[in-house]
Amino acid sequence: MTASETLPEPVAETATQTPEGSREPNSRTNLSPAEWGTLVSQIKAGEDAGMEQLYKLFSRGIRYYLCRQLGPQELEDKVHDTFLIVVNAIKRGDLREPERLMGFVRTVVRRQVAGYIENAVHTRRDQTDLEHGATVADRKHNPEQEAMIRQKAELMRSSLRALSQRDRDILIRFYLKEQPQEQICEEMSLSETQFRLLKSRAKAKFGEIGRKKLSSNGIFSVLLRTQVSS
Amino acid sequence: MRSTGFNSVLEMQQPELQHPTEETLENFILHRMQEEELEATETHILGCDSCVARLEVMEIQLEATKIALADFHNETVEQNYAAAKTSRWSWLKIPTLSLAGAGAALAIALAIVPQFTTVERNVSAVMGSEVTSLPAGHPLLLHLNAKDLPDEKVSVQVVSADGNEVWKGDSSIHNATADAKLPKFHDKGNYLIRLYENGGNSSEGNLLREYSFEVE
Repeated sequence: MTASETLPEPVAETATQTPEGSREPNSRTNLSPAEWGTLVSQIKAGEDAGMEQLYKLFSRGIRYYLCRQLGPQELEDKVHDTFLIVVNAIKRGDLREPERLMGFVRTVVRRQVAGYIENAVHTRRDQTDLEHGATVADRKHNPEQEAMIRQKAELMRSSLRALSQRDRDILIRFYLKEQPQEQICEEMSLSETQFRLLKSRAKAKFGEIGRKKLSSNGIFSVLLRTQVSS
Repeated sequence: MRSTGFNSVLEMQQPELQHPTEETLENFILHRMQEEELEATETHILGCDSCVARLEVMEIQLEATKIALADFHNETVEQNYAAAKTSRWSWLKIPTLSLAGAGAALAIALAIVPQFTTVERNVSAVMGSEVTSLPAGHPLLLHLNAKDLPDEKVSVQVVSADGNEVWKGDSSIHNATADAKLPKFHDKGNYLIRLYENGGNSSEGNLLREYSFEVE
């Protein structure tokens, strides 16, 4: 039995929102060293249960990571390839400490991403009739998501008017112009702590205004949550 | 399989077992993380469905925020420009020689100075659909995202869409950013900008990063 034959289908699961910084009781990677050891042993032995659990543990995260880095093109193939590499490496005994499986998977995924990017760069370089964007990953959202983003943006824009100039300036510099925190602090004469506080308050005000305008909409929940954590 | 008594010890040894805060996840999405924090966060995310779900929600939220801020910013710039334009014409209507001279000087300045104004942008490596748009006919100062690269001297190369080198120079990576001062680009179109290890070139140096931008 080869690894390629045994990778199970992705399992759809309902994600639960977790409190920030908490340890989710049901976190699937929250295994004891013994449990990691069992899992790795099962994979080494080619047992279906081990393969299935490995896939359950990492499939969504790997899919998200690869999609974020490389776009959705041939995503399933890339996820599959990654699992094959992990499984084969475990079978070869490359993973000496089973409790380090999470870090091991991260290393494999990062190498995969680097490999795909390098390959894309070389392919592009070799093309004489280069058309821009031909090999650039497409990270567009689906039409529903696009509509949702646009709708949210419209509502947010009206809320921005209610913020002070300084609050808006901080948000624009940080999120839109992507200025480093150090630059913002220097140009606005702020200490690091002041910056964090002001950004946090600006987001809080932004969220509060949005919440008042759309009390039942819930669109600003993330900003509010972010503010609470900051 | 569920957690046991070993976990409290394990969590202390492995910070990736703890769910990241919203701020940490936001920094992850915005590529604003130091390597150590990135390692722990990425490792956690790869094995945590709930954090992936949080990230997916936050990505949409942040994208909407950026659009709202961009729209608002553009609106404000246009309003300021319109106000400045009105003000400028009112100056020219006053029939005094000195003010007319000042108006003429202002008009000349408005026509000429922008061409010397350096356009500054942050540029990230080619990943996703984002293409940085830049105006033609302006000197450019690009802040190239060199995250994960060590502080060192690098070579910078710009190639046109047909693969021809159009500019080459040196820069250095400092605080995960390499600044590239580029001349005016008069030809509209798509370009690629590449970072090579110092001393390298397009044919034999080690390619570190590749970015894209569009001159319009």
